[in-house]
Amino acid sequence: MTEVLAIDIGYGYTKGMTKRGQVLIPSMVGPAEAIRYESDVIEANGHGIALEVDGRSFFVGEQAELQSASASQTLDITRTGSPEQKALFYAVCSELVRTVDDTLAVVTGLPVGDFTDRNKEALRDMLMGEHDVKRQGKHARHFEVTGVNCVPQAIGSLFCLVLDKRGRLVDGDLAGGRVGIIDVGTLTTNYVLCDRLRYVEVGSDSVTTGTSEMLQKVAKDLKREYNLDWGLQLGKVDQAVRERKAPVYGDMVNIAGLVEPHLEALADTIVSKARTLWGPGVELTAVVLTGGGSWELGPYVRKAYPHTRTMGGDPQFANCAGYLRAGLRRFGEGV
Amino acid sequence: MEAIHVRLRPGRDDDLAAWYEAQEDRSQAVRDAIRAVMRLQNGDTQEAIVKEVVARELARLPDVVAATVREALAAYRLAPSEMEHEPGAEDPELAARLDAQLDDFDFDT
Repeated sequence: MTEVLAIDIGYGYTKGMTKRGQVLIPSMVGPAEAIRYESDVIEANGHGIALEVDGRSFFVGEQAELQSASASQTLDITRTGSPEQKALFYAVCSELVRTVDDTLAVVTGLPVGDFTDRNKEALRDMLMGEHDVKRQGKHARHFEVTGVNCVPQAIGSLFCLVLDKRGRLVDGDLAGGRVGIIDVGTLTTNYVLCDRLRYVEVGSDSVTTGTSEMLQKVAKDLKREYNLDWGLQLGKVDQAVRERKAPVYGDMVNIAGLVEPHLEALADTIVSKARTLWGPGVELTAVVLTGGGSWELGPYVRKAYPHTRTMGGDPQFANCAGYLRAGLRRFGEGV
Repeated sequence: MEAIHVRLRPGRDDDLAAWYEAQEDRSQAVRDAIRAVMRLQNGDTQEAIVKEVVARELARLPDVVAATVREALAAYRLAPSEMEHEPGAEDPELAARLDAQLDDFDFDT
């Protein structure tokens, strides 16, 4: 039977999901010309992922940050069909595809701004066909991808809301309406407009605004106010922003006053783009706010769009979960 | 004012002890209990006392409901669909639109 794999390759993290489980891998890829110590790629020593893509070796995730001199987290990762992107695909497969799986259908997404025929072709070329996944310390996987479905990234969250776990349509109200989706990521924000489940290209777009810009500004303020040098540790800044607290000389200091202006500025930028696409949104059934960066922005976006809905569960996985549900419907395992 | 001291006897007054332990405002609870007994002795029926308590709770109900609803709606969070419906529950027109859209997104059609 054909297995369905959903994969969402983002600037910050790559998310993968099948019916049996899910995986989150930092989108960091670096060349692994030589593995210096075998212990460096043992999983127990820090989530080491070392694998081979078309005869070249790569470190993926935290391992890339630790081991590669030239780990890339941005441009190569998002260059559709690049070996780095294929390395992320293989890293996900090495976690989620079983050695007994021989055929696979893949559902994935492209940022709205990159949702072009050329990019879709490049993605198809990368995904379709035979694959040998060779990862250090794991059994090799050999399988064939027989179907690929590529959607505009943010639409996955809508699928997650209107389809059940088998891919059956369950939310007629949202599905039957005109819905704007704002997907806030690390470096980009995607806007998708759907009219009764049909993608409306003229109401959809991407902008290069995301949470990392806000986190960098907060990091700068933390350095200035408290001498906390977290400019290269945005994960720590992210945590501090969520908790509105940061550790300073053994005490937890309230940083709400420092965080709010930056959150508000990010929300303003995001909302102003939404306004150019959807106006005041009066005719929209709902605005769905999703993505890993959506945690903190609900109250701000709601000021402009009172019918804003945020995703329950982990919004970081919402697109991926929607891809999987759509995949189960499309490729016959579900409905 | 005089204080009232009551000694609870182990075994015989365990029910009173358990009830007392469970009260949030113990002094007020004891006062209310004594007054309820006084009213019964003065001719009020148990039914009248129960009615009064129920009326008091009903008066609070709108506030309780409003607070609960406010709390539930505070985040306006939509949960991913967890339900699995029986076959035939889909809106056929919307299902067809969705399938056509997924076909459009497909590479091998």
